[in-house]
Amino acid sequence: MSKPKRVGELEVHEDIARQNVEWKIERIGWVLMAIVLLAALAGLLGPGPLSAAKARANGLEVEYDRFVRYQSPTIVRVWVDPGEARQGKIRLSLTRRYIENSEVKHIDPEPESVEVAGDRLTYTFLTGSTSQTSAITYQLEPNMSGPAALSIGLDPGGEVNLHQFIYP
Amino acid sequence: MESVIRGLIVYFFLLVVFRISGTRTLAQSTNFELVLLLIISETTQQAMVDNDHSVTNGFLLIMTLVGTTIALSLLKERFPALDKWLDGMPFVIIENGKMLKERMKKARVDEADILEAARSLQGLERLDQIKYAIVERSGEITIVPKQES
Repeated sequence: MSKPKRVGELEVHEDIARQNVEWKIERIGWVLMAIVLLAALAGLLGPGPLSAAKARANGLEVEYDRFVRYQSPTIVRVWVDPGEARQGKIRLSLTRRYIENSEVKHIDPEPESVEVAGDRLTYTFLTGSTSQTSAITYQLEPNMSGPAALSIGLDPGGEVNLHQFIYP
Repeated sequence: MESVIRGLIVYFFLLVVFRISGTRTLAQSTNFELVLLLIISETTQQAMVDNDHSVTNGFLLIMTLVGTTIALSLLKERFPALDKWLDGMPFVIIENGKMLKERMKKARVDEADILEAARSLQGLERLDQIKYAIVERSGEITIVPKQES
């Protein structure tokens, strides 16, 4: 350490100029923390008002969160328009890599079957109605972090492309 | 994420947050501050360990934390400026019996804190018995009493 300063009869390693800068940095730090917390509450660092999103394509609408967190529960809900079923079945095809890198906790309703082909997974769901909207809910926890892309396609029908950012 | 990287990130995050909050924030002078410290320790553990409860992961994390502390202490020796900024420096808040109110306000230290330190360290009864009061790097307040003549 440098030589101590002399304050009256006291020898102490004081540097009040540096201390003032430190106090200033402290206060800036508090403001930054407040901003981060507000961003989190707003849904920029995880699920929240600014994170909730919807995507639409021919025959389906998907609710999802734009910002999610590593191994933290999130829901992707697919609303299939009435009349899109073929012989009482709805087929949804999803990006296989996304599902591979997530833990799928639950799918409501349970699919009748799941087919794997190339880079898609196709889920088949039974439906009894042709006049009502059908909701299919995927409850999952991502096992990856960073930008992630998931495309959900109605087979046959439109396809939505979702983009999420998964905070580590 | 690799354990070592996770450990490093958490270490530096804690370092920065604690420095920004000021050394007195967790001085444990009240029961609540003790509770706060315990809660922070639990939260940190969850962030660092992730789902890996292996002995290997535990050892890696411990070595990362200890190793980083050692590395920083070596760097501090080499670069004294780093020492000043990482650990802070003491400063006087009572000089020759006179309270330096500006500094007390910036440091968020009040008379009650000074009197408590005076009683605890020197058994003093009143403010006018204090010659110097210094806020040390640890956030603790130390007292130099006036000489009884």
